[in-house]
Amino acid sequence: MDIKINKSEVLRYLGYKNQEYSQELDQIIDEIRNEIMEISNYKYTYKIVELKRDAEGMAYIDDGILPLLGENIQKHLANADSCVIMAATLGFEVEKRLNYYSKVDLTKNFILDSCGTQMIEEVCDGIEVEVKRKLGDGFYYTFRYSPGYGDFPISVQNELVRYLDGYRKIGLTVTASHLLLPRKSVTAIMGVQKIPFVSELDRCAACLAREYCEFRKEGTRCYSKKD
Amino acid sequence: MLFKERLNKGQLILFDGAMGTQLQHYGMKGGEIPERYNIDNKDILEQIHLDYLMAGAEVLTTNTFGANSHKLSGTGLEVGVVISEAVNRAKFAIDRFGKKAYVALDIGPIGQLMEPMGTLSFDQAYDLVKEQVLAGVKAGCDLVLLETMTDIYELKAAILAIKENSDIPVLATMTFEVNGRTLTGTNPETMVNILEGLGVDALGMNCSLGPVESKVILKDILKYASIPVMIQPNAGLPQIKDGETVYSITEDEFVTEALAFTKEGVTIIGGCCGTTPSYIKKITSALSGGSVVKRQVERKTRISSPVSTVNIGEDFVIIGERINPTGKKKMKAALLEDNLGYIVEEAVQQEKAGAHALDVNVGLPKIDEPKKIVEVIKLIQEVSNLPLQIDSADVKALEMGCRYYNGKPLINSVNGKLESMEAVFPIAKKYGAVMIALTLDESGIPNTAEERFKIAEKIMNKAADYGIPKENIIIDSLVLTVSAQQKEVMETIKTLALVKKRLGLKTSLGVSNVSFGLPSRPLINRTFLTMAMTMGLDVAIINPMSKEMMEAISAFRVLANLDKDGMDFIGKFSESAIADRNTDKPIGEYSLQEIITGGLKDKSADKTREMLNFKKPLEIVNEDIMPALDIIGDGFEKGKVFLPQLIQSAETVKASFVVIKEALIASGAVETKKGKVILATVQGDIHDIGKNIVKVLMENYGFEVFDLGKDVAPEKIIEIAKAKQVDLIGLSALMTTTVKSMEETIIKLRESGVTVPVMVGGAVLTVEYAGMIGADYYGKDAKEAVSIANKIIG
Repeated sequence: MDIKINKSEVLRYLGYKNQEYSQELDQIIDEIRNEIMEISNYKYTYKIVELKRDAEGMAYIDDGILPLLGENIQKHLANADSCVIMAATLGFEVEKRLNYYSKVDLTKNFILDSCGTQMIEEVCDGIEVEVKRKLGDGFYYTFRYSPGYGDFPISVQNELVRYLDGYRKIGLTVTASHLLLPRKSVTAIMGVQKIPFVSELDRCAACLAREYCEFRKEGTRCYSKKD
Repeated sequence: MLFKERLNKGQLILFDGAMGTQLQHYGMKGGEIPERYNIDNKDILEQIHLDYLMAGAEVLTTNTFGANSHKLSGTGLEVGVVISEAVNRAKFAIDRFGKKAYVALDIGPIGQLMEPMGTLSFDQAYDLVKEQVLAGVKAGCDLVLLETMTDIYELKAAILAIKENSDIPVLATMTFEVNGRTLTGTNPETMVNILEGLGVDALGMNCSLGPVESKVILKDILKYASIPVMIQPNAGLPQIKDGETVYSITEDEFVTEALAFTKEGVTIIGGCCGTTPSYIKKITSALSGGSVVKRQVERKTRISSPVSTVNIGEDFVIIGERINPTGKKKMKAALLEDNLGYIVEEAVQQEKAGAHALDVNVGLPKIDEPKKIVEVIKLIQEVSNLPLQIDSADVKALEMGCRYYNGKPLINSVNGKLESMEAVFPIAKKYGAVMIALTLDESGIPNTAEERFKIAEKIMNKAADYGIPKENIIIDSLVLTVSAQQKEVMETIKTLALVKKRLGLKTSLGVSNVSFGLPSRPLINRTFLTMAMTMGLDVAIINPMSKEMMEAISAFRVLANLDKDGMDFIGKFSESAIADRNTDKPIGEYSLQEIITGGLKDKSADKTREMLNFKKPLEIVNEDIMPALDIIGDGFEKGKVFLPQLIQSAETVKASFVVIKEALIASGAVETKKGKVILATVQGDIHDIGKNIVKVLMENYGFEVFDLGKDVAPEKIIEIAKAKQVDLIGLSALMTTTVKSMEETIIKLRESGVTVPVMVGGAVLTVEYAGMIGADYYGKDAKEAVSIANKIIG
């Protein structure tokens, strides 16, 4: 997987809106982009599984061991025949370094955090590329949908990580409040289907943060445009 | 025969292969709870065990990898029941088979990250494992296998839980990555050093890698381990094929590698993921009845943090002495006021300056030392990878320090008094600590080298009675002050030479006392240090920020052929290296305001110091610092400055304030604070960047901030709010899911009678939302949080 940390995306996470800033700061941003590449032992795992339908047409997998709860995820997978269930993490060392900088250098802490957010997205993009290459032509894909998004409960995080044996495979854990640790980690479900994907739901419409989202106010989005 | 005897019989021991792979073979799906099979599918379990017995396994591992209360919560399964059923399945199979075999209670990782990265505390980990072990022993297992561990700290808690609650043997294996470290960064040398210290019966590696990739790591383990070594590799590297995990090695290849392992000196062999009874069968026919190949292991004095090991005696070792309140006003104040930032700074600076380990001493009259030393050790281990020296005169503090320290500790100190040895040796034995041992006893510090030597010898012999090997003892022959006891200074050096020559023990000295009462102390100190190093001193406990001392050590290392070809020395002292360090524009060319608005963090302290020559501290604050902060703050509000710039400037100001504070204290002025503020990321949330930014900005504006950290229980906030009589409580939550926790925190605060205003902030909050959850104020960003605080308190 070829990971590069896109600087303009990092700047976007840092809240950059064309302000002038010093060369020193620019250097720090570049240093941290390199640093995270050096220390991250990113890992990922995924399964491609068949989606079954119950009498009402609701999608489920493997006898409901990983429940697909909520209207949003069901709509999202409405036309999917199978789905990719994925988990990725930048690993323990990034978590440790974030913790270190939070005590020693807040500027770097914030920049590393933003680089981490960008990098884990790129790892997930990489998984998509790998899956698409593996499955070959003739398939269409939904975007990645994560627990905690819309009405897909964040508590599904526990089942999802267990389903993928995420702790053993990539060292991913879930806290009592269903957050992923290391923090720079993502789990997601992506539908695979034979007809082109048209999102029935505006990604923002499903988001709980839409009313007060800084990105929306600016006319941009928190996810990258290519999705 | 008890397993312990079997282990030391000198004959190879064969374990079984994978459990998960077999369960999948019998139809288990991903996401199912394997432990359920112990109860619901007894036949399958017994068949798997029986298959392994017939294949020749001498030890069966129970199907209890995830049988802990944390992983089983919400499944309706109980630890006690699962474990007793699991042991029964194995015993039943053994009965049916009709030949003696051992049952190992299998314990895998808890599945939560430990503190400080995660939320699982050492004591919680201990309790979870204790519950498993008690159930296992009750059910009649013969030994415990801790396996697939990635976090050495979790492993330490588990080993203590087993050893303190049972007397059955403990085997511990960790899983390594291709880079030769576990997921949390432990390398083989460090693992061996820590686990042997804790007294496990055998150690080794399992899972994640196949036999081929395991070889290098295994060789390392065998090189360091003086106890039996075990290995349970996967059947090759896992690969994903059609969404399923498959393994790449054939049975024959596996056996070839297994044979190679036994030639290197492995005692126990089994299989992990992907291996089946037929793998084990092939191994049995190739290896059964074979003898363990004897290894020569060099025993060395080693101390470890979770990720690195310092070999004492290989190169000169510097232990940083700065984290100790004795004679240090600022450290004393920091400990009393819980100024953790100062302690962190001292740890980080000493590491940067070249220390190899750090001394930690928190001994002050008004302090609960056992509690405090644990707090400070945990804090330092968050920011430093160096091993720590646990330094206290309080035996309880030593014990607590050793227990909660992540790694193999160094104790400072024990001495030749019977009382001291009887108190400290059991602790050193239990936690595998290395000790600094002082050559004094009931009759004080002897005058002559011969007499001090005798104390060293006595300590070594007495330690042996406790089973403490001599490599875990470092003799300190005690530095006396030359101005008071000039005659005896050379005795110290003579003693260390005797100790090295006749006993073969390592030696250390705390150097700085020697010059007390003389002018030009650094000159005396570094000369004395050089004399001692020449006589073979291994460790110096010094201030690594002292240029004179560090330079003397650099020079010594070249002359003593430790710094090969003088590479380190040249790196430090060549003209180009010096020129590189001095490229920056001199601070005189900047104004403090430029430094602050430009965020030039490493220049503000020096600049402030320079300005103190002609300006009063408070004048600098009011005329230079505050206006600069306002420029940046306004710029941020107007969108001309973006967040990293604001943070940089705030941290620049923070560095200035350290200097200002020193000047105020020196002039006898009392520093006045505007008001007291609690900041906390609410329970359940682990995102603290926003809160940290608010903190630094608030401190800049003169508030006294009590930062309670992340994932903070409401009770803690209530306790501090009452104890410190704060004026404002600031809560942060990043996730929609944790805003709920914020609301609960506010309700609990009010119920407990805390009426202080509450301000909230976080990515998903709005003014309306803040009102709904009962907050008094909403801070949209760090700048606004300060404005609100100013309004309420100012």
